[in-house]
Formats: sequence, C-alpha cells, structure tokens
Amino acid sequence: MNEHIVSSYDEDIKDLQEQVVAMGGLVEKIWMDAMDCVKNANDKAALQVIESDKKIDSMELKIYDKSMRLLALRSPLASDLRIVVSAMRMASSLERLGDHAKNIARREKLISTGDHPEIISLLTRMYDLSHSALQQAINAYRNSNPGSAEEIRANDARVDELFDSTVAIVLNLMAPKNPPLETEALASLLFIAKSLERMGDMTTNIAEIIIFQETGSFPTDERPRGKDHQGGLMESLAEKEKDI
Amino acid sequence: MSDKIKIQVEDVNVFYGDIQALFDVTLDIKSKEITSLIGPSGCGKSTFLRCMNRMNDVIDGCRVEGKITIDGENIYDADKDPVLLRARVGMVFQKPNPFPKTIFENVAYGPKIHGLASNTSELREIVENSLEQAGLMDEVKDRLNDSATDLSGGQQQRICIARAIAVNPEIILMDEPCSALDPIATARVEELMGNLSNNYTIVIVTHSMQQAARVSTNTAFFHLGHLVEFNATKQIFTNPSDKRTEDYITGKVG
Ligand SMILES: Nc1ncnc2c1ncn2[C@@H]1O[C@H](COP(=O)(O)OP(=O)(O)O)[C@@H](O)[C@H]1O
Ligand SMILES: [Mg+2]
Repeated sequence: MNEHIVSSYDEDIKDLQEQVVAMGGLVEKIWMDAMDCVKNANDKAALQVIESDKKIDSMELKIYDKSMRLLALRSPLASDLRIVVSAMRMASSLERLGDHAKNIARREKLISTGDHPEIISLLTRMYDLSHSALQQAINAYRNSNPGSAEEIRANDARVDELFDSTVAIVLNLMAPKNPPLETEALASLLFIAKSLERMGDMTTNIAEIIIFQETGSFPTDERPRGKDHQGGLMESLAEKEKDI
Repeated sequence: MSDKIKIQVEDVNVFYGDIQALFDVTLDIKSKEITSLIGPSGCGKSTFLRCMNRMNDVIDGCRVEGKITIDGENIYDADKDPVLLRARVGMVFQKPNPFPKTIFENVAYGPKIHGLASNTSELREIVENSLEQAGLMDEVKDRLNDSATDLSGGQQQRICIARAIAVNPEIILMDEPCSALDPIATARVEELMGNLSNNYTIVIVTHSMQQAARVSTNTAFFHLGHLVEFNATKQIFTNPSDKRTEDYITGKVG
C-alpha cells in the first residue's frame, strides 16, 4: 500500500485501525473470561468481564470519534473511505459481542446449580470454533486479508449445527417433565423472549444514535435497567426448578 | 437522464509540436449528464476538453488525430466550421473572464454575432432568459447596464455561464470553473450545473475530488496523457479499479 502524501493522514488511518484491533483483542479476552465462568464458575473471571465490557463500550465511542474526525478533516475516498466506514461498523459489532459475553457471565451462578457436562462440552466446542474464528477475523483485519475472511464465512455453518444439537439435547432433558411438543413450545417462547429482549437493547442503541446525531454526544449515564434483569429472571426459574 | 451518447471520442492523440499530450483516448460522453475529468496537473485534461470544441486549432503547433463525433457527426471533418461548432459547444474557464462591458452586452454579444435575434426585444428576451437559467436574474435585474467586471467573482462566473448559454449550445465545457471561487459561490455554480444538466451535456475539469463526486454522474481519470479509468462517479470514488486512480484520489504517492 502506498503512503499518503500528507503523512499525518497515514498515521490517522493507522491509529484508527490499531484502535479496532485493540478493541478486537479485548473482545477476545472478554469471551475467554465469560467462557471461564460457564466452565469453571470462576468468580474472578466474572468480575473481569464486567470491567472489560465497560472498557469495550468506551473504545467503541473512541473509534466513532476518531472516524468522525477523519471524515470531517480528511474527506477520505476509495479505500480510505472504506476503512473509516468499516472501522465504525467493526466497532459496533465488537461492542455487541462484548454485550453477549457479559450476558453469559451474568448467568454464571445459576449454571453452576445444574450439572450438565455434556451440554457444557457442546457449548465449549461452539465457543472454540467461534473464538478461533474471532481471532482469525481480527488477524484478517489487521493483515488486510480478504481470503482469510472468506474462510471464516464458510466455517460458520459448523457452529450453527452445534447450536441445533445443543438445543435438541436441552429439549430432551426438559422433556421428562413435559410432553415433547410442549417442551419445544416452551423453548421457542424462551428464544422469542430473548430476541425481544435484544430488540429492546438494539432499539435503545438506535435511540442513543439519534441523541448523538442531534446533540453530538452519546449519553454517558448508565442505561436504566429492569429489576432482576436477566440473571434475575433465570434465577427465579432456577429457584422454581429446585422447588420441584 | 438518458443513455444517449452525445460525444464519441475514438483513438484521439494530441501533439504539441513533437510532444505528445494525449494517447489513444477513447470514451463516450452521455447526453444531458455531467461528466468530470480529473487527474494531476499536466495530465491533459484541458487539452482533452479543447479537443471537443476545436479550441486546439488556434494553438500553434497543436495537432489532433483521431475521431470525435457529436451526435454522430465528425467535428473534425473538413466541411465543419469551427466557429459554428463553438456555438454548439460552449466553454467556461477557470478565471471568470467577462468582457469589460455591461452585464447586458456580455450576454448579448454571442447571440448578436451569431444572428440569433432579429430585433432588440428578441435580444433582450435571450439575455434575460440566459441570466435566468444561470440563476443570476434576481441578483442583476436592476443593473443590467452596470459593468460586468464590478460583480463578485462568483457572479462573474455565472455571467460567463449565461454568456455560454445565450448562443443556445448543446454542450458546455467547464475548465476548473470554481477554482477561483469561495465555497458559497462554488455551491451556487454546482447547483446551477445540476439544473443545466437537464438541458445540456456538461463536461467539467476539476481538481476537487469532492466537487467531481458531488456534481457528476461519470468520471474520467487521466494520468500522463492516458485515460486510465472511466466509470460511474460513485464507483470511482468508493472502489476504483486502477491503482493509479486509487493513489490519486486518496492522495498517495505512486
Ligand atoms: N499550448 C501548449 N503548448 C505546448 N504544450 C502544451 C500546451 N498546452 C498544454 N501543453 C502540454 O500538454 C500537457 C497537458 O497539458 P494540459 O492539457 O494543460 O493538462 P491539465 O489541464 O491536465 O493540467 C502538458 O505537458 C502541457 O505542458
Ligand atoms: Mg488544465
């Protein structure tokens, strides 16, 4: 790649991409810790996750800020323009990945109440595949390697299969207490509830983008969240299970 | 917007004496669209622009080879009159160059010498209509007899555009028309170009990538006398296919 005539432009572009790589690195780490929670009920890892998630959120905002400045001051075109637009999209995807890792770590306590090694092992295989894909993606980004990125796209099908197997086994475990169809219906309701919860989160993202568009900055205060959010709901479900 | 081709350029080579300035340039310019020509200084943009109204004919030692047709007629055919051609193909230059005469006379000059008006009221109508199309009528209607050189740079440039329109051209060539103008005057000229492209085919040379991106449908990139890449403007500015284009528009050293 040739260098820009204005050398500080090269530095700006390089710095932006380094910020994305660093954010990617932290997302790799938050997932390692989240999975540590799932596998080993590691309380220290759970605390790490909370901390990393905060850092990831602030890295996302820094990348937006830098991208805005590049757009305003450099009027990037062609590959430069694609780099800036991609950095913003990468930042928002990475931030969401961080959120998911945090959601997993929140469930640490209640997972430890059950004993399902075969499911944990399936989840671990899903994680191994997805986590190495994530590492490969960050490397492909760092090395501007579209070929490697194509590979990642091709490999995602395996994770989907493992997901289906996991769901089937979980349904089976739940089945003795309910007729099979009823179990599947209940599981579907759970998935729908989860999607609706994501819908709420992403709509809040949209609301924050609008606030940014109109005022120039993202709201910095914590999002209001429901009492017993996430873990709480599952915990009460878990409580019930224990009662039975 | 139409897909009709207005200007067809085939294997054009241009020489200044022994020095070749353009090499085998071939491209089609669509009717009633804005086409921009970009590239580093000295790459031959102005030379190419001048081919299309035979302005190179008046440059000593300049030789044009190849074929350029407008609506299918070769403009370099022996029986073609370059003066009539230049009425069909108007030109606007980098530095606004109004005559040191009144606003009215600046615009009326062309129609007069081409005999486009049979009486003063027809002439007045042409002048007013041209100023209207150039988006200048409201600003100058009470001062048509003032000197054109007293206007602001942006207004002078629009006088030059009105002057080009007044002879009822089909094509308007613009050689860096905004490089001497401030951002507001530039925006006015760009807005005007957008309106004019409903009726005229426009070819513009510009050094501003942003201007090319804002105004044109298609963009041609020239480098060292060669046409390197000619494509939809949005393609050129988001994903050019030639490395030389990429390096130029992103401001990189090749
Ligand atoms: N009147 C001229 N006489 C001799 N050489 C010329 C003349 N005009 C342009 N050239 C040469 O032709 C090449 C292309 O010039 P030009 O068309 O003005 O480029 P651009 O408009 O892209 O800056 C340059 O090398 C320039 O020096
Ligand atoms: Mg020039």
